[in-house]
Amino acid sequence: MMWIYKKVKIIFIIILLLNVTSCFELELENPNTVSEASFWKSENDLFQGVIAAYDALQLGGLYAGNIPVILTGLSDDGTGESTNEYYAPFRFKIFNSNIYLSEVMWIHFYAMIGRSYQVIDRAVLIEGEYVKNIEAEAKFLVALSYYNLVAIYGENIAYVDRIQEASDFPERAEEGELYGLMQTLLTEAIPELKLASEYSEADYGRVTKGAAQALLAKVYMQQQNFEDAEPLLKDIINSNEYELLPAYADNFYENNGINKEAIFVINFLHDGPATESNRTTRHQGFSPREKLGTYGDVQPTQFVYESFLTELDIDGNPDPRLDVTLFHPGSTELFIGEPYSWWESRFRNSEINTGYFKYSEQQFIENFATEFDGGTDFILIRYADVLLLYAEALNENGQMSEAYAYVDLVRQRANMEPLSIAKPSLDKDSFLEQLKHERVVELSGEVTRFFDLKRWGMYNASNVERDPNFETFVNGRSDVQPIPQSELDLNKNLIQNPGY
Amino acid sequence: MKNILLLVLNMMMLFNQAFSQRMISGKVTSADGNELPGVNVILKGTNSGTISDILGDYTLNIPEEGGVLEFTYIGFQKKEIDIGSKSVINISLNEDLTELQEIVVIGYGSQRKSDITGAVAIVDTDQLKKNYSSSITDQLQGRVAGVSVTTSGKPGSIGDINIRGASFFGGNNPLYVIDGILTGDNPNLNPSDVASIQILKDASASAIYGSRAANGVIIITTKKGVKGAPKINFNSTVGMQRIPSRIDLKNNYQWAEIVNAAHDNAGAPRVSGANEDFNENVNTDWQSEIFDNTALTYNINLAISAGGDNSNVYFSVNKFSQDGAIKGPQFDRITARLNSEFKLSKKITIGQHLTVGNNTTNGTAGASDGDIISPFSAAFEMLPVIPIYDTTQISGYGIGQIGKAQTWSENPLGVMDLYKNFSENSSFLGDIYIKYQILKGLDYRLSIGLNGSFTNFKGYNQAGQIRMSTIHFSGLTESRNENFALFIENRISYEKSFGKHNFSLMGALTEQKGREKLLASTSVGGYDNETNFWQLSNSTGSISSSGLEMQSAIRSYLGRLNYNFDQKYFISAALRNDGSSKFALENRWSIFPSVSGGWALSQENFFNIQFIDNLKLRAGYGIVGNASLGDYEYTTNIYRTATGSDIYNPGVNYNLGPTSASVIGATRSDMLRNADISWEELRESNLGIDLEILNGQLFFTGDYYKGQVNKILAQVPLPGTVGAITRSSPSINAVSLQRKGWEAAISYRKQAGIFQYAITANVSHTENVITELNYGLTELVGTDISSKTTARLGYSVGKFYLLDYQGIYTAEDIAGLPSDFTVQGETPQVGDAKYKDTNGRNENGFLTGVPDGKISRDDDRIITGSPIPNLIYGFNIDLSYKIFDCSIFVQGISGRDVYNTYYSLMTTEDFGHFTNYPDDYDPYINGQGTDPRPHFFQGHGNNLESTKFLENGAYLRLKNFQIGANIPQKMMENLRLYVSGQNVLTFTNYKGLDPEFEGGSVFTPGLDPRAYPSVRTFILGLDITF
Repeated sequence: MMWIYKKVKIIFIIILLLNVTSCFELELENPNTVSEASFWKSENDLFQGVIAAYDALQLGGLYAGNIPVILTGLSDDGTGESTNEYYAPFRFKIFNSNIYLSEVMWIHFYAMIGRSYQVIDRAVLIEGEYVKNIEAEAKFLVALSYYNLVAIYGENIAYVDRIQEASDFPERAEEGELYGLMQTLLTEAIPELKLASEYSEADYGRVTKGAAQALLAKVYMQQQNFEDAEPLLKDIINSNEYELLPAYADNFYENNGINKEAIFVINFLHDGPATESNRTTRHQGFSPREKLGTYGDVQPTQFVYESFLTELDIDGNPDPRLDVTLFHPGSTELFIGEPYSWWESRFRNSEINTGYFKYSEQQFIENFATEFDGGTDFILIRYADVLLLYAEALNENGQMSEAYAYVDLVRQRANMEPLSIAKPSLDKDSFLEQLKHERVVELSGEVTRFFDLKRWGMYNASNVERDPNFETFVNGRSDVQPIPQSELDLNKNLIQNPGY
Repeated sequence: MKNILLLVLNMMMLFNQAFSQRMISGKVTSADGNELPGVNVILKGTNSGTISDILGDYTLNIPEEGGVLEFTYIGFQKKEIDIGSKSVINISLNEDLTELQEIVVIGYGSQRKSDITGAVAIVDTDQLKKNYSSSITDQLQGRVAGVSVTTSGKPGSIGDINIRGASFFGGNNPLYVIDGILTGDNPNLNPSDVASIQILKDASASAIYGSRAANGVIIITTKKGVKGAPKINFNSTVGMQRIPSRIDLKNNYQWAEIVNAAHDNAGAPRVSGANEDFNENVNTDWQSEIFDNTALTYNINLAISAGGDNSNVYFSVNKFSQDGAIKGPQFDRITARLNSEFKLSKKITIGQHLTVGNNTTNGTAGASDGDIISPFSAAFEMLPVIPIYDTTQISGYGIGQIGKAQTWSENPLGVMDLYKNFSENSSFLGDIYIKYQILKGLDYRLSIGLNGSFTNFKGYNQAGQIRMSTIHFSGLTESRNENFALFIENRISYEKSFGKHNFSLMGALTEQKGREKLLASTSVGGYDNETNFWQLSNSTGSISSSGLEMQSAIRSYLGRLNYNFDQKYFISAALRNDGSSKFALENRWSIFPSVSGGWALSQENFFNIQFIDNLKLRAGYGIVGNASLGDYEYTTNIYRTATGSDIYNPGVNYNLGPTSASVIGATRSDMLRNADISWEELRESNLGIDLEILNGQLFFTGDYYKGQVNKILAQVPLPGTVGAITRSSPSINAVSLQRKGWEAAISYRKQAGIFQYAITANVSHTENVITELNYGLTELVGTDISSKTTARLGYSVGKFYLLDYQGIYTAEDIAGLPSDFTVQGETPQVGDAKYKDTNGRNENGFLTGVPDGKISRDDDRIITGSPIPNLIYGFNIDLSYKIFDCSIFVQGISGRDVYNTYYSLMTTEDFGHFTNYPDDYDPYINGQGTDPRPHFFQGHGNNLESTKFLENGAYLRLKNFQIGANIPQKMMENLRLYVSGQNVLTFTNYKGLDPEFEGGSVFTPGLDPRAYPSVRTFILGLDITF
């Protein structure tokens, strides 16, 4: 037995040695994904970063879903009687400020800002041919976010101008501070950005110099600064980069081509996976009432419909933009598979007999029994908008006579008589009134009216003439939305807007 | 004269001893195979004797001619053996009735129960086996003071267990130690293989497991072979199971009346299904369609135990099968075990434990398959006016229809027919060890263990329509999960006594590494309805795949000192240093110390209370840890995935170019991480008393504890300004809470001739209160307006957060209201829900605490109710008379409120969605009724979360009874037949399906998740040993 005992002893020592030397490593690298600390090294990393910032545009809380519905509902070109609590803001009846849609919208705009600053703050550390352009694109997206946030929530919102960490609880912005930030970012971005024609076709959709100029002009104009806006708009027009499409309707149809009228466009894709979020659901809120696949949250106001009826085109027919914009008593097409006669008795709101037809994604309805997603690109800044803004700036700057030509470009495309012939002798005020009308018939349903009303000082209770929902509008309170309660709860540096 | 003779004889023996001696040796074990150290071995009638060592071995010089050996050991029955010519005598001792003397496994060693100074529960495993379940965890329900188990009737399910309440937010599962292998998951064990269970409840007892012990430790030791000829035990049970409870619901006429009123009150057009399309012949009772089913279950167990002088072996094989009490899922399990041990030499022993198992679950699980509804919810969300089958629908199942009878619920029978799930898990768990006695009292032990689990899942469904407005694609998902851990433990222990000083010392180095791999593939669409070959390769649709790999490692150094003086004064101190790969380098290591002491008062000379056999006081303090987080969670990752879940939480990509080619983007993950995170810790004091009176017939043990749980990792919500698209909620050590409670267990056993009985009872109470919320937090949940619970400073976790319901408005109430009084923005009417106005807001949006004449769903909620039971108790009686025996086990909880989600679902209208209604729902219609006016709009004041749905959730349940007989016969050692019933009777006021439920999360302990209820089971059993 002794020999066994001795052998075992030796084996024991070996085991012990093995044991002591086989310590498991406690510092383990994550084999699944790269960490933030080891990313952001190359120009390509930066490019991927700005793609993520663009991707925020397609979030459900922004242009893939909520923004068109909410901003239309909040202005007088759309009204909603939805029983859904989410849409209570349309009726300016806020009984708690934690409305889910508003919260998501807030979070998603700040997500676009956060993703953009990941690019902006790191661009200074990375060298490369395109770094400056990428950085400028990100700056545009920050400015675009604040342009919306300020219009929706007012200037009393969180001031974020860099990458945020978990320990950051940003202060609220001082008055004017956010406009200053937008102006700085865009002014810095414009010289670094390519013209639309300088990008390759595969880059269609990226921020161009023209887009940044247009946005900066809008930022100025929202502050009644028409002097600084005018040269920017003029520059866009003179760049010869953009032109009006011959057919108005082609702007709202997915034809998979480059649209020379689109100054800034969000590319949606119908047949990609829903989880990629490159489809849109914005149309679901715009039907006359809920039907399979749609929710009927917002309908055009009677005012929009009537605006089209005020003037016939050159051939004595109704304004051709009416059929494109609205589903109305004269519509001959089917809407989600049903004729107007079917819808007529089903409008949610008996005062209203039209629905938004623009962006209703008719081409993508395959099956009337189920929900469907849209894929039509959303033109956020359209050349026609820029032309009308330029006319407005010229008028404000006392150059009304020059302004006519730009309005006429827009009118003529729609087969309307030139304004210079129809209404040749307008004064400054009546010219502005005419522009207001032109913008309604040209741009309704494209989320411009909300900003227009604010710019014209018209966002108040008097809109009740055009939109019955404004009956409960409280001047001095309802002109901005309440800051989501959850954000106030989580950041003690913020305070609620007055009156909520 | 006699005395003189004896004296002479004695002297002769002494003489013999001195001059003609030989050696006798052997091993002393307990009946269940544990080595017994410290047993007195005396040559009868002499002073010659010895004590068995730590391995139970003894050697003794005896006279050549032999004699009688007398083995005595406190707590065991004395045994005498005639030596004859034998030179080796191995013996097993039977336990005495007295409980205090058991040997108890306390982690990295064992101790006599009488020496224990912490709160350690020793579980009566014989009693456990009477509870029919595949899981040892479920069997613990109601048996141990301070251990709360909630079970479900879902086949193969494993109950939710927590020890001394739920204190952490990321899981409160205790640590399981199975034959020395540590695992956080519930072990896949055959309960019949379990020899003993010890539960370390307080921090001083569990601190030897350091960073993983804060939720308590359950130490499970499996059986060993017993010396002697092979013994074969065969046990077979067969039973029937059924869901016992129903909720009485309205019929089709009553449904239509309420639905019409809901629309009228909202000014919305009525739906046709309650009017022109109403069919009086359609009155579906969905509950009976789903629940009226009886399921078969059986369990077959074969165990063989054998042992010789130098080896022993235990072998078992088990088959457990349980059909669903509703159609699908069905559970089957096969496990086998081999435990063996060989003594190579006097000093060296090698051995192993191994169990292998295979589980399969087939059929639709229902509750956990994404969009597919749980049948236990669908039974109430489907409408009586919808037929089960409807040939006008695409798939032939009755479904909701817009404008007619709207419900978004899936047809549950359609789900059961079209959706198939199969999951299979194979596992092994075992170790190989070697023990080496370096010197007497000094032992070294090395063990290497493996724990592996491999899961395959496959789920598929045909295309079709089983839900309003939704045509679903066909689909197939397959996943593989490979989970594997390796353990190495080196332990050295030393025992020594000097006079009345008894020491034992233990030190160990342990290491563990784990790896997990996940692979999943999903095909959406791609199968026609005739397909019988559900394979990914056959799909014509798009297939997406994902894969992940996780690794972790823990290294630990630990030591313990036990000391007692004369079995009167006891002290135990332990220290463990743990390092984990889950934390950044700066926070990786932490030390967990503990100390405890005991005083056996009854051993003192001055103690002279006759009827008290033993009285011991115990006190302990310890710091233990926990880590509720996954691997690599201290670094923020870059998110570069193209696809996500939906447009609110998508992947990162954007389409550039006119043809919209997708480009993948990169951004920091929404899951921001925090490199500062470190261990969560529990600092707990425990005071205990053990009392044994009436000659060991009555035993009482009680413990009081108070602890501070610090640095609890909570998902702290960050402001949206941080830049995440979903609310970023990194894990941060942000919360502290205090927990305290008490536990008491009493047992009384009595033998009166052939009649024996034993009564055991236990009761416990636990409570917690949040004492610190850092990081600017005021509440952890409850920010969302639909949250029904909250966690706030000064309150316990998961308190209800609801509007205070006060009945319905009468005409007088309305007349007395100020004219601008509103409920959710609208002026209330007669019959509307009346809530207490508790709060308001100032111009900056801050809550003032002053009523403002406006009832708001958000602001007027109050913190109320007690979702955590005040008392948890269990009570058991065992009786035996001649060959018959009987046991009755009652278990329950009291002092607990629950939110009846069945009633809230059914009586508060959702947008565009009806349900059925409970039979006792009496809405205010046409001037009659006691419940609020039905109103179709979501968010309307009558449809809010309120105290209306809080109910008393106490229950008392006849959990189990068993009546058996040991049939006298001569063919085999034992033949036993028994009948048993489980969940036989329940006494409760709760109106939902089952008062016993797991609340979903630590924050929602009182919300009924409408999951699989308990099933009633009746069983016939046969048990044979030969």
